[in-house]
Amino acid sequence: MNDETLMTQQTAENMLRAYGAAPTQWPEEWRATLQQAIDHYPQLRAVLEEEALLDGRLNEFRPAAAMTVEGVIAKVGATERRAQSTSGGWLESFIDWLVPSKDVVWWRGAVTAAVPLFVGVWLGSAVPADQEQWEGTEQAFFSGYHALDIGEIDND
Amino acid sequence: MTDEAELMAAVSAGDVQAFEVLVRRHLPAIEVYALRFTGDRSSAQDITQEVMLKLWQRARDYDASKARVTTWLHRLAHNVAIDQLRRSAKYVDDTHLIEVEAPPDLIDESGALKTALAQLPLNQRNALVLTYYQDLSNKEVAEIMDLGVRALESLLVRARATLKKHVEVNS
Repeated sequence: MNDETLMTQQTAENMLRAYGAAPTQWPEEWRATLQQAIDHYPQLRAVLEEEALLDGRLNEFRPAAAMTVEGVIAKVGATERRAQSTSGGWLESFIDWLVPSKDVVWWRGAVTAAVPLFVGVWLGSAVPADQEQWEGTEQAFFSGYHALDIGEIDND
Repeated sequence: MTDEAELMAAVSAGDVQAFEVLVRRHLPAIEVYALRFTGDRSSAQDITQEVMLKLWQRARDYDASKARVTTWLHRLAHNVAIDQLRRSAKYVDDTHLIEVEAPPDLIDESGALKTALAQLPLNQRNALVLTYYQDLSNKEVAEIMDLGVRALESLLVRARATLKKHVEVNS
């Protein structure tokens, strides 16, 4: 090994102070280099022993898990059912009915929002306007307006 | 696509069996992480339950190209735990907590160490717990905590130095 590939003593000490004495705790990419540095600098042995003592104490703290998979899943199901039955549920149900997919997110809302627009366009093109009636209304309105303008209407 | 990525895709499509497989795999690690971080079994169980609910509701947000499922879940747990601690009366500021008394079921030969852990600033404790106990790489822990690897190592050095003083005093 040459000096270019050897980790400095300070860097090696910093690594031990951060990750402890057990090689399994060291970052994988640094394991070989750090071990070489420990073999090279005898002063690091004291650091290693000090950190090993703390590792021993940390290893004693092994609390046991107590939650059950069944209990967790049941609670998730209950929370979901509760959320669906409260406010906003009708909107979600409507969107689900209209665009029944769980995979897409943003455009489901956009499709739902566009529904009134499409209904309006469809009504506008499908329902025929009563042209004669509108023409009669228009003539009556403008003739009255014209009469007012030239003073032909008797206000009495 | 990995086995876990396929399971996550199935969960996002509403597959309850895939959800059960993932819960079975990751529940103990998340609960024990929350337990070590908060020092309180009731809080840890609340955090774990919320993480599993988010796994069901937000599986579609998971990106297999960015993180392992365990890293993604630990990040959720980290965020939920920090939020919960902020709401708690025990919370003082972003780095500190008022010391938490060790619950009876957690007091054993490591009880003294657990108390010392509880006295560490939040970010030091979290760095130590995630790196030392949770089988995550330093890069994954840095990502969970939104830090660089150098900053993480600095937190670890300070956390271990404080704990060593405590161990020396008590031995």
